[in-house]
Amino acid sequence: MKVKVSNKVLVYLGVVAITIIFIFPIYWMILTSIKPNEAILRLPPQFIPKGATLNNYKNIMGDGKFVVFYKNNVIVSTVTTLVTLVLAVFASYAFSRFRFRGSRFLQMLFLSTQMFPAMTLLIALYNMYFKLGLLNTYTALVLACSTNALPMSVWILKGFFDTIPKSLEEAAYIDGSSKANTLFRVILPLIRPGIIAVGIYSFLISWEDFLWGLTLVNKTEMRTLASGIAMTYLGEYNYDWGRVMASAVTAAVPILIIFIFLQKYIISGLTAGAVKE
Amino acid sequence: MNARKKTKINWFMIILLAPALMLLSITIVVPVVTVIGMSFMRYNLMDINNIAWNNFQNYKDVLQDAQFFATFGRTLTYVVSTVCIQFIIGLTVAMLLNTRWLRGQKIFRGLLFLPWTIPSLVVAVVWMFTFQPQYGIVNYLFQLGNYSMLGNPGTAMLSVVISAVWKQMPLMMIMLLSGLQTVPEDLKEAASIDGATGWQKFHAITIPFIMPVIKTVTLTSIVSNFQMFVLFFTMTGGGPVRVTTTLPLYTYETAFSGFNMGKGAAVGVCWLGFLVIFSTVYNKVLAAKEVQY
Amino acid sequence: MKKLLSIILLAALMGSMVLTGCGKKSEEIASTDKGTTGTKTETGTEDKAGDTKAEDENEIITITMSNWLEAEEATSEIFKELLADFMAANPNIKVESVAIPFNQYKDQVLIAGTSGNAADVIMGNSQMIVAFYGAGVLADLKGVVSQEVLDDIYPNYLAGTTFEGKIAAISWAPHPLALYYNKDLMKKAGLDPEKAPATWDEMTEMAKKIAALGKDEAGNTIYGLGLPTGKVAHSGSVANGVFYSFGGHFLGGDGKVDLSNEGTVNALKYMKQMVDEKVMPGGLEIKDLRGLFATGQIGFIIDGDMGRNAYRASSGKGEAFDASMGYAIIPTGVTGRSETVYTEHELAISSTSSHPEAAAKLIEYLTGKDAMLKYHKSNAVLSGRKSVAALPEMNEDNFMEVFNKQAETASPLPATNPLFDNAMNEVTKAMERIMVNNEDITEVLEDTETTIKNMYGE
Repeated sequence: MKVKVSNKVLVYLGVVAITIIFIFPIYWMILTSIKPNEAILRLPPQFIPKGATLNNYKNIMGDGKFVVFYKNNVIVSTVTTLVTLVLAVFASYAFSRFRFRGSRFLQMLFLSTQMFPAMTLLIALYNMYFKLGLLNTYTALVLACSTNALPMSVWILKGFFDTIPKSLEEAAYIDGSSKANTLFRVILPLIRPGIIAVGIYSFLISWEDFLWGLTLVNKTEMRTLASGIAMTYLGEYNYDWGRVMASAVTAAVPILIIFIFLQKYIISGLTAGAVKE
Repeated sequence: MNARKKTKINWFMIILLAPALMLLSITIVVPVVTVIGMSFMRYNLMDINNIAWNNFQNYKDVLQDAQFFATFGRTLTYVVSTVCIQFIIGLTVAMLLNTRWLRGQKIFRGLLFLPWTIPSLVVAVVWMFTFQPQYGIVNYLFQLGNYSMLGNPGTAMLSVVISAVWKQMPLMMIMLLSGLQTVPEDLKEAASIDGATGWQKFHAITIPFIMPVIKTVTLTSIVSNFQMFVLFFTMTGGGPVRVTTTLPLYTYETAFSGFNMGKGAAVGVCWLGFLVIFSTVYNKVLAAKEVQY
Repeated sequence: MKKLLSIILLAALMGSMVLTGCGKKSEEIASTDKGTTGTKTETGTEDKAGDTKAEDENEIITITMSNWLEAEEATSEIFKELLADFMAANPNIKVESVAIPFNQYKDQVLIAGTSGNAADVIMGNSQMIVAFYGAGVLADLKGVVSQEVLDDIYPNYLAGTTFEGKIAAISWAPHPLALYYNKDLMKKAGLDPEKAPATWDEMTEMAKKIAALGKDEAGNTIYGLGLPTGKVAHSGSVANGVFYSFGGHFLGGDGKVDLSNEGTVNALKYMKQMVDEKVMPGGLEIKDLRGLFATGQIGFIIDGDMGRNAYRASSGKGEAFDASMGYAIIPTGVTGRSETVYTEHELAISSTSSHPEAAAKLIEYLTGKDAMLKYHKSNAVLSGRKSVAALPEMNEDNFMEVFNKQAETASPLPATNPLFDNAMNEVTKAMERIMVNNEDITEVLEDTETTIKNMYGE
């Protein structure tokens, strides 16, 4: 199909403009993270920094704490993603494929767990994890973050399952494929984009978690990034802009790499192109 | 055969549902039920040993509190504007990126995805810094002088919405893009051959096809934005003059600063009730526009 | 199908009921614990004292201390060093630090406290401690901390942490608020950088002259005066000092809330005027103002002794920035006295602590001479104990002289109610309404007074 040149130009312009707008604050973050403090708090802003320094990075890497927060966050987010994906794929497939009485109610129940203000739950949750002896453990953080990520993940995946015609499974059943086999071999490959999207979603839900890392954990060596950053750089007396920015940039880079890496799979999931059939 | 199939499906379904149900009932249903119970009690942190039934007093307090309704209105303003803006931008970007001949998709997608990798807390700090009236870059670029975006009642909410959209748009975009990529190209091609315009294709094929995704991402976004606490707490603390005091902050003020856990729980129950009703209706309305197989 | 579903649901419900049941029971246990703490702690102390003596050699007691000092750069090193020193001197006590971000500190301690899991030693500032006390998280220190130490604390400091006759905490590092000024800006405005203002009127004149400089060469606006008037409860707390300077107050003579008095109105009128004349930025909190002062954009600022370190760090110049800073006690206002308030780091013991005697030892050590001299050397803190504050090492330079002198006239924050922090939040909101929203001062104050009175249950 031929596309007009003017249309092409418009599309490129649009994409580039939006990208620039959205990326500018990130550029500003990176810039701030390599500026010396006296340049951060003054006008005119330097768009190309004078006396750029990696001190903030050296400092956050050198103090030992940041690396620990980082490690904890990676562990919690990875495990949360796996747990959430397994549970969400199962549950959403059930919701998508089986019409049973109470299905709607259960789905609403799932979703409604996220409709109650977390603030009022803090004491009850703290109490519960305390009683279970899970305070200051990864288990507590994984459970709490999975709970946060699961309902939406189920909904998102159900949306993807719903786009797959039932005739596909029926055909598989006629070919003698078992239920489980059909789900894993026939259906899952088709919703790979959905699975990856949900994987990213649940990873980032736990990656950005502040409340649980703040409440269910109180040892410095167990803290995750957000609460660790708050504790270390957003202190009683002043904000350490330079270091906050440096830690944010460091936090974002690996995720970006993971994402670029996973994009391939989104695309390959599509080129498999089975949806068309 | 019929009977055999039936039992088989049952067990399969239950095995599929059980793990998720078990996790949720332990880690959230129980605490929520406990707290809903607390909303009927006199439950004050200053007098924690004296928790007793108080005859709906918490609900009376909430419903008689003009602040509660004002807060509710502000929350709606925030949620509706944040979700609408990020949906429009997100869908536009997703459609643009889904153009087949577009080069550098990966790079654009990667770059646009970046804001979502930054924890909300840091997003709040970054935007506080960006909006800082004396040395912030926004004031410099837009020649605002020392006008404080976050410090003025007229622009504080707008500023928070901007930072929320910035942070959340990427997720919206990625989800919609994933949805768009499941739209069969041959359907669109067939439509083109039949002489359909771009808008007709969009309206008649794309939208109905991705409606399940639209439904979930917008509802997801609505529900989670109702919970938005960190941005407000860090950027404005609910001020100036309460213009950014949304439900999470109001609940926090009531429960923690005011020590009144019972009333805080009652606010939560009203909030839960509203969202349950809202999402049921929302689902029904949007489900009607879905493509049916 | 229906049956199975209902079985699952039923199981889930049963599970939830069992768990809620458990929750209730343990709450009850915890509450009976708390009910008897008063007597229990005392007998407990004796018992335990005997126990520990017998098991001194082999039994190591672990106590926890919640704080926000461990992670913050300004205090991290010294705090760890102090704990290490304490453990070296008391080999049978191991102290574990529980570090919590400052902004969420109060809530987190309350959450842990109401679950009966508060740290043994609880650090806090004046606003937090009164809230912890209100929630029943703190033990009475009388009879737990040695009388000798209690007698050594300045009576006004001790009074500030005593509620209903119970000593909820003891003063660790008081922070009286005094005046900082930028000598470079004074020179630029044609003022004598060595002559600090003696009265508010003088200061106002000087501040106006500095603000008249307009903008610096890079285009940064220069302000004469920086007082926090927005965002956080801290701004409301600090305003108390300004109220006093104008003859106003937050609490009346009878200890009840009284905001709409003439002095407070005048104080707010003054601040509003300064904001309108662009002598002072409106609606900022102290953290914003510190950044501005540190980069030479504010002439006068009222801040505690910790301000110096914050300025050094934010300016990017370190100690070299001291050359640009002048210090003085707060100028006198209508009362003819240098009126200000102090905030404070305080130490308390949790009412559920199982090792109150070890906790008390830690508190005695941290407030004692050895620890304070070290802490002072690294962070220039003041001490609330007479025997320590008088030491020459604590009064070594002009900066310390100014702050020690200021400590003599500084009043405690009127934190008499557990909801004080909440009340200060309302005061901050009132200031925002006045400074940013241009609402009528008297009306706003009357409103706020009613709100706080309702809150306090007066």
